[in-house]
Amino acid sequence: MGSELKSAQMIIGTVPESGLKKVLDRIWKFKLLYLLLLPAFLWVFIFDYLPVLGISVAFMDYNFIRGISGSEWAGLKYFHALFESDMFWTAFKNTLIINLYKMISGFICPILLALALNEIRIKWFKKTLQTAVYLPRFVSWVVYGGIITLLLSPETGIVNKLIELLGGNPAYLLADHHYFRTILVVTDAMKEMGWAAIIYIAAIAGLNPEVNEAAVVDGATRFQRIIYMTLPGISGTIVVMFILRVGFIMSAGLDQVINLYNPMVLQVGDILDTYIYRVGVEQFNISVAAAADVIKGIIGLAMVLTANHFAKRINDSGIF
Amino acid sequence: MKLTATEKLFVVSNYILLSLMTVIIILPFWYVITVSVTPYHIFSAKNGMVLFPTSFSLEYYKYLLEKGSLIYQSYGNTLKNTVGGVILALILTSGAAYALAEKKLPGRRILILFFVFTMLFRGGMIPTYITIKQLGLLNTSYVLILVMAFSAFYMIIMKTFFEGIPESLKESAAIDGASEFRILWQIVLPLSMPVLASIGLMYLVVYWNDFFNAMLYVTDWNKAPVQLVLRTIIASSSLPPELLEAAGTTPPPTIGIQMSAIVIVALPMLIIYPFVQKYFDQGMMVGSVKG
Repeated sequence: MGSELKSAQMIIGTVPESGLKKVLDRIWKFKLLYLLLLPAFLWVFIFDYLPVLGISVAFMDYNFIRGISGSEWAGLKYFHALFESDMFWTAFKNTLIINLYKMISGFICPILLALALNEIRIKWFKKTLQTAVYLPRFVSWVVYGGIITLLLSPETGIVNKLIELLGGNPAYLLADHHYFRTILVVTDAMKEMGWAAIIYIAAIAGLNPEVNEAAVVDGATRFQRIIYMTLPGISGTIVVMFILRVGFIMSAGLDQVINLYNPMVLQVGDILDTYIYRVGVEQFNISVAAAADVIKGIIGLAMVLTANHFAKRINDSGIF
Repeated sequence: MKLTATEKLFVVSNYILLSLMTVIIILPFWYVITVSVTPYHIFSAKNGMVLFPTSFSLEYYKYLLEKGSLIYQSYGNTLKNTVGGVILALILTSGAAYALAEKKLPGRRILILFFVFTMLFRGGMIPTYITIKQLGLLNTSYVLILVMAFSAFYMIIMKTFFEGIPESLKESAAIDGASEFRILWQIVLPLSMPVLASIGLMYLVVYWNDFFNAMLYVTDWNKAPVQLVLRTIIASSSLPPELLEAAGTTPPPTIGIQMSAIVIVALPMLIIYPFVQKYFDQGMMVGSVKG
């Protein structure tokens, strides 16, 4: 330790002895905290930062047996291959379209739900509703996908029975490319809406009740209070959630799609993540799939930084 | 408070719409349970319209839970992963959160950036897969415990909570001569039980419901979690031969098997959830204080 310290001083040179000693003393003073931090630091390094280096397989003729060190560099070969693949562009387009739909429903529904729940004054009723709408979040998409498959099944599915009852023709909904995206959007909202609303419910609960009471005294109607007070009050939360949402623009719901899609709806339902999984893990084209990962990551990063930039300019509530 | 006619209409329709929506969300779960206990001849005679059980049978469950069924082993794997995972995740998350909540920690800003960056950019599925493979973790019995053990998002929520613990509390204990470790153990930890419970439960859901990491990193059926087995049961129109070692038995119709398997896998979460709901709410409250 002593000789290391000395050589460090020799290298830095200009730092006066007392200055460096002060810094080291300060760090030593917080040794317990650094020790507590260390496991998470190592974890993030291994499972988040090493994969960032692992991106290099997108620029290699990756050899699965010999690993990264035994593979040759290939330049942008696999990016060219990717850009020439129709399936990639289909998945790319589907990701954006499905995400846009989900953003409209999956982003707005929770806000509306939180506002609507806030208007319920009977406590036990509100509590019961909340418990019920959060519930689907606690099952996996394997479970929920299985339930949806049962409900939409062509022979015995209850949804088809309803369609018949209303005078329509029953169809194999999950295998029909007219309906598949709609099914994704609706079931996503059904499963996640309640949980996504919690953050807004919390934000509304944090608003100053006196302001609301004053507005009541002044004769503001319920509608006016929602539009002119509650909604602006939670706008900061809405902006933050929007930025986070935009960061996931290239993820259209892997867990959901992989449990619902089938060859019949590949053209409208294949998203980047399922494409990457099929190409990389099932067909073993590691480098092509990794190239798609790189594209996905870069666009996601650019989007979230842009959204954050604009959020800061509009109302100073970006997240970094 | 007097309500105008439009406001009355608004309130009433609000109640009706919310109730309707809740029924739509809950009904599928109810329906699955009903199908799983309805004998197949009744299910098909009624063309699937069995919203209320008219006759009761456990034949599907008996079949699935027969001796030697893969369900037992995979359930054990899921339990092991979940318990081990939640403990590890809490150690990693709370350790980092507590350290970074200390404003005077040298290098704090850079360290926070180090963690936040992982929320903005990731290597992605394939580079992560390659990393796991290079580390020799593929198909090990602990890979599924390791890969989900930390979330920067939950760490930030916890950090916000720790920042809310009054400095004076720690200072007065320090003046009384308590060591730093004792302050952590005897003052901070007891105060943090609610947030540990909230975040622990969030990780619990992640571990219990994971199937995709299992699809990527585990190919050995002996190590597969129950979600993966369920996925195979649902995906196949006939039952996978791995499911049952007791060959020769004629399996009952698939749809009932699928639905009862869904119930078996989802039930633990659905049962404990209403009892621990307050912790989930709390966790989100803590996290949103800043927003």
